[in-house]
Amino acid sequence: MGALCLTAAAVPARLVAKAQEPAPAAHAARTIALSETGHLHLTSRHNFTLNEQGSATGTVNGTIYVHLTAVSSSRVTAEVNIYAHGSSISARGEARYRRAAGSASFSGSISIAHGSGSYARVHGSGLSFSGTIAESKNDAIAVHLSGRVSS
Amino acid sequence: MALLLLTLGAVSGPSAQAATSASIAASLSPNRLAARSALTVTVDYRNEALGEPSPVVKAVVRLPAGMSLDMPSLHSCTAARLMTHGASGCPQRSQLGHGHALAETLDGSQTLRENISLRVFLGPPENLSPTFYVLAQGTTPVQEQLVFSGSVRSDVAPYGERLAMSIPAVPSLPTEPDASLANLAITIGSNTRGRSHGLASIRVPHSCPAGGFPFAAEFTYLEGARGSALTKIPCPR
Repeated sequence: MGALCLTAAAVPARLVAKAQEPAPAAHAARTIALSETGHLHLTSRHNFTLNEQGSATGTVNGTIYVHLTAVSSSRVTAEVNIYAHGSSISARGEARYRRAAGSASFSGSISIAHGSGSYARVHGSGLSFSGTIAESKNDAIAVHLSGRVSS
Repeated sequence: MALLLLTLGAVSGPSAQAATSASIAASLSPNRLAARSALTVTVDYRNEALGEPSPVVKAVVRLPAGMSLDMPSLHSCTAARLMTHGASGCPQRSQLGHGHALAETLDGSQTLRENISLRVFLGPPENLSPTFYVLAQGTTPVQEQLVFSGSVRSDVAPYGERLAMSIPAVPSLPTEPDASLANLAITIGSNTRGRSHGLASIRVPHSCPAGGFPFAAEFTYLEGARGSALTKIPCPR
């Protein structure tokens, strides 16, 4: 499920070049600031899980998938995948969930679980993760992720 | 199990002078910070002037901030299955709790009483918020089965969540008016003590506000009057 995928075009060129080189024996980690916004629509729901797809913009431009699952009356778990140019990053996290009349919001943290392609070595934890769910728009969600990731 | 019996009861709206009042009590088992617990809420209704409380049509129970319902198994049931098959028609792990109630009807100078068993089930989510169904079954003097629904919403401090229920009319004997609830007790969650994975439980907050965990309840009665009640569970020692 969920992955956070960075598009190569949106990542600093030096980071991309580094990622495409053969793995050196000693790898110097680099960090970049990630700020990503996604606007998604509901593709399916299964019991207490919303499956959503949309577009991600910001540090990375690509396709974003989010799976939100309620695990209590006030908490959700999230899996986020972002895909771009054949590479991807997946992230998992947890957030507090609040629901009022007509809308809901969530806020918590998320960590990169794994990457592929150019982002196979990207990692980071404790990234900020928040969003809203619009019930009037068939549970469309907007998400925002931010923080520093290493490669 | 810590228990602190009711505190305040207040009424407003039509017929307030002869209104039904309610008192509530709440307890946690275990009453321990950060524990997975069972929460029991009891409500007593009375009407000193009329001798019989008015039927309740809506109830809202407000839980303290930080207290939430953990739902590890995520199995839910539907009202249709409950009505058709009863409790056996629902996944075992969709059961959130249980309880009992006492309904009363005045029949001339006689009061007819009926014991009702209650079972609470997780319903389909609204957005990602849980809903629940209460299956109420009584046998004597009237065999009846009712299903009514409730929802969970976020609340404002010092409360965290509010459980709202719409309560249907409780039928009584033919030619008699609908019954009124005299009291009820519902336990939500189970005291898992780390053994029973997958069962719903109430997550106790990591800290306790001064004076204890606050609970509140608001009731709307058939004639439109409203009442409220407050209670607290003392902080764990």
